[in-house]
Amino acid sequence: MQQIKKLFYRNGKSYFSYVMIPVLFLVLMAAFQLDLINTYWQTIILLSGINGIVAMSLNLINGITGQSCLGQAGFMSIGAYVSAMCTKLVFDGFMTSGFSSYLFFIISLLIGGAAASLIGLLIGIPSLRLRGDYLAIITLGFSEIIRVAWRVIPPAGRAMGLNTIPKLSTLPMVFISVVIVMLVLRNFTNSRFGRSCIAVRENELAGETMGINTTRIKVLAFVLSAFIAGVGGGLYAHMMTFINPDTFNQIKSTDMVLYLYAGGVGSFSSALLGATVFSFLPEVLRSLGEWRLVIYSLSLVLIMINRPKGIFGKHEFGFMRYGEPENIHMKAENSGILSSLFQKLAYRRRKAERAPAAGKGDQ
Amino acid sequence: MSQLIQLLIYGLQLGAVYALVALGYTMVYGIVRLINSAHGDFLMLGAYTAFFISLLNGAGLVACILGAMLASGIIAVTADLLAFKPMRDQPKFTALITALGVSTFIQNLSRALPFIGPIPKPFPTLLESRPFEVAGITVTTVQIFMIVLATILLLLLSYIVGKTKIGRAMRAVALDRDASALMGVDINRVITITFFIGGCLAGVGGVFYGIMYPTLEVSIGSFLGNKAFIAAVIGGIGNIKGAMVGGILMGVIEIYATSINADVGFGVFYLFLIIILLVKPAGLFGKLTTEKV
Amino acid sequence: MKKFLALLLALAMVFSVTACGGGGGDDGEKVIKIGLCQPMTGSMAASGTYSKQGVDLAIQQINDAGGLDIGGEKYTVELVVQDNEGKTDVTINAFNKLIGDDKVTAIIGTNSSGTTKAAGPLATEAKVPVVATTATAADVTQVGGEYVFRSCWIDPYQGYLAAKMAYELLGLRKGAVLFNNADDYSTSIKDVFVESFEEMGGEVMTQAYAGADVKDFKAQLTAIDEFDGEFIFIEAQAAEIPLPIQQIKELGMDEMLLGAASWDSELLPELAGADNIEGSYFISTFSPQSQDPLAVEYVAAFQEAYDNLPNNQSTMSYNAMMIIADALERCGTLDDPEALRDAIAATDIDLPSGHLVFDENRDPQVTGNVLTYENGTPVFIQTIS
Repeated sequence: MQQIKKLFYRNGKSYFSYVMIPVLFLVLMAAFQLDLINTYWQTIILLSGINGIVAMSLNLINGITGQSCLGQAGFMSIGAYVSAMCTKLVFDGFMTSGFSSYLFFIISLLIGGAAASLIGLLIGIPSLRLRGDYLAIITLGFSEIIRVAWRVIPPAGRAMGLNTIPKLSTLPMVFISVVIVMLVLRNFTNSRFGRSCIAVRENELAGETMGINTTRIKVLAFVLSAFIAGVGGGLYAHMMTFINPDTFNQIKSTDMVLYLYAGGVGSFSSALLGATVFSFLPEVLRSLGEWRLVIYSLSLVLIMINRPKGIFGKHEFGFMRYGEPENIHMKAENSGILSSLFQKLAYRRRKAERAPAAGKGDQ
Repeated sequence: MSQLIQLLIYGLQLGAVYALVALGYTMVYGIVRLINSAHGDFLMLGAYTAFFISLLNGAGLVACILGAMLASGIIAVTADLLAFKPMRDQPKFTALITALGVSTFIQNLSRALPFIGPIPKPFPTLLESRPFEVAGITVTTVQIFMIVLATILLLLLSYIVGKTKIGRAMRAVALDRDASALMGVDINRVITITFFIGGCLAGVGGVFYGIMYPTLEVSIGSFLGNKAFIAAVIGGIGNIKGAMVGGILMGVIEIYATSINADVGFGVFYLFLIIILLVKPAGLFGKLTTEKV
Repeated sequence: MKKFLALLLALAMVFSVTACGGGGGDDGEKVIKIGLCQPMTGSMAASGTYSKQGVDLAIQQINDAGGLDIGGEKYTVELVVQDNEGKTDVTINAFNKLIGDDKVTAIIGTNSSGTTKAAGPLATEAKVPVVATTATAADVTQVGGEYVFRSCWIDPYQGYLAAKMAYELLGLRKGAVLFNNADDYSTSIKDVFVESFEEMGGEVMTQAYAGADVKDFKAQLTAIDEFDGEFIFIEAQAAEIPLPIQQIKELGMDEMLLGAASWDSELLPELAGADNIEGSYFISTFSPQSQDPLAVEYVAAFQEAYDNLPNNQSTMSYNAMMIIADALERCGTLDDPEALRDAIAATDIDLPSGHLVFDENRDPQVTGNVLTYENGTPVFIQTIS
């Protein structure tokens, strides 16, 4: 592995993950197209990608800006409903050919995201008075109110929900969305705004004295996060082809929090991996029958006790760090399975390199 | 007018249960800053314990309540020692996820166990309900019993927290854990006792739930727990007086709101929560802590 | 601790692998796999348990009789159960699992309209016939596509029958309805009931409703009480009925209680109190008291196997399995899904609940039974259509 990685090493930067993304895409495409994996696993792979998008959007609020949000399903539902109503009711006549239907699907996704970010703005502003747990609870409250609202709005089908939504969330759509979302989040985090977000997380008061408009930064984080969650919701609706208000209940919100914190809060890559692991786990355990969720929750508790910083810690993929090696602070903070594994391997290699040398010295 | 008072009595009955459960949330939060989402499941196990005790011959209401209290209390302490203790110094959301895991675990384990199972169980009539009319308002003996017992428990708890040595230790730990450790308070003992008391109250809440809605199933805990949690937040989470007032307030509001429009019942709950938090960001009785620099 | 975790996960994996491999049936016997997708966990878990009882009984009877005779060869039936937790997205996973991984010939389930609407199109796409048990909303088979059938009646028909029972059979003229408007099943039955009842000349004085998760109906019931009607029609999911009934009696209200299919539950007298439902009337697709020879035989077999009486859910699941078995024998091949679908569409059999044929919307044409509760047991009055 290390040998292969070295092949993509130029000017002190590793371009390994830039190569891996297209390779992974091609492998998945081949597997999907040639039916190497059946629809069951295909759906779970798509689902983990979509869950990953929403978990990453949550990381922007909880991990980067240091606020607490528990209502991501609310933003998701707005994106899902608005984009589904767009493709089903508004753009229905235009979606004739394959190309135009994907074009209008993308437009619908963006409209859904925009609607979600508008609500994100509305929720973000009043929420700024609150901190910590109270903020978490108020976002939970808002997402429940959004759910009740869908239940009484006639075009959204009330309690019956929307059905026969066109199935447009294919592998390329989801995969490319995941990559774009990651790039957007990477660039945002490394911009002036992103660094302000981190300053707010580390010390809000100190940030303010440094001239950061903390109010604006927090609202900005909410708006961007809501937009991305809305896009994720739109993809979800067009994969499931059926949504109703109860799809986006409190459990959905807490699931997203679970993906993020079990994966490793503070890192977008860990959020994606956490979503993948915890989307697959309940399905892998399916044969256990009624004991399935018992084992699932037990492993969750054990993971949290053993790895309180998440399975994957604060690692980011290479392309999320512009190919730069992890700095010493990041390494110090990492306690994920992967990091401890790599550290152990590196230690063994150093030991192996040193051992013959030491032996010679003795003679 | 008489209908309004009639509804008020239903509201008080419901509010008494909410208050008991909300107290458990608030006490645990005050001491270990953990949103214990498994608290509702302690209640469910308490209700089932009462159910099984009532199946034994000669076991009456008192035995059921005591048994439920003891069982819920022990389970709460066990859950704390096994799952929550390692989470003491972790971020709140990490602990919250663990608590969610514990909650899912308790619910699904109970469902998978053959003697509890997925099929709802009928809760026995522990207390004969006799209605009588006072000035056009119907009151039942069950309602009076529940409201009175809840009040007694709340007063008892106020006494424990306010006047006894362990209560003083609890308040000290809630105020500053490190400082009270330096002053010789046995933190772990205080936390265990807090979980036990919280669990006991949840157990009583479980029996009350069984008396009010005699259909037991394993998901009742999360349903009631959610509402009680909101009640605790409205009162100012971490504040015992706040949980009592919040619980009763939410019970009354729920009954009035559903009498006007049931559809938005649960939504109104949250709307009320949001309004209160926007006006008083730390709940009705909570103190806003300023950030230390 | 870490080792324990690793061991646990490893064990879970091993379990899942062995369980997957175990269903192969390499002992020379030919096996046909039928999938069952029902909520085995979650708040609707009771319904899934009943459904499995019905299907298990049907399969046991089929296998005891030597299995299915398909194209001259004997096949034994094997059931594959996948839990859907009563959630739409889990239903989609469960259907995909049944179709893609377990490779079942046909699927039984689900018990609710929403989940069947979500997963039905998948089955139609994969050409696997589905027979839903109690998905009663009118548009389930249209949304699901041409491979989705059901063994139960549809909501509008049920609402109409209930109204007919109230107006013609019981001679009631004015009353109230209580329903759950967060639930499409409850809402659609209520709509048709009110419409038909008023068309016949009756009067529905008030329509009170409760949202999801409401446990306290006293506010609505107090409002209903003020109208002083003759009856209250209550129809919602089976788990949601006992509480309002208890509270009606707690308030000392004396209106006659009417209901529909979900009243037909073994547990209702126990949960709601036998005294409280004494003298209430409801309609159901199946009555355990029916004197039809097939029904008598079925009820006896069911009681022997499970020690309780069959209810609507278990009977509909039993029927679904029998419909599939019958169609398989008639179509005579396992390789042609279209032939199997056509065979199911051409179903013409006698079942414990009566004679069943499908109409052009793949909904069954059935008669209803009027029942009443006497001393905590449902007593058969007459059929209605």
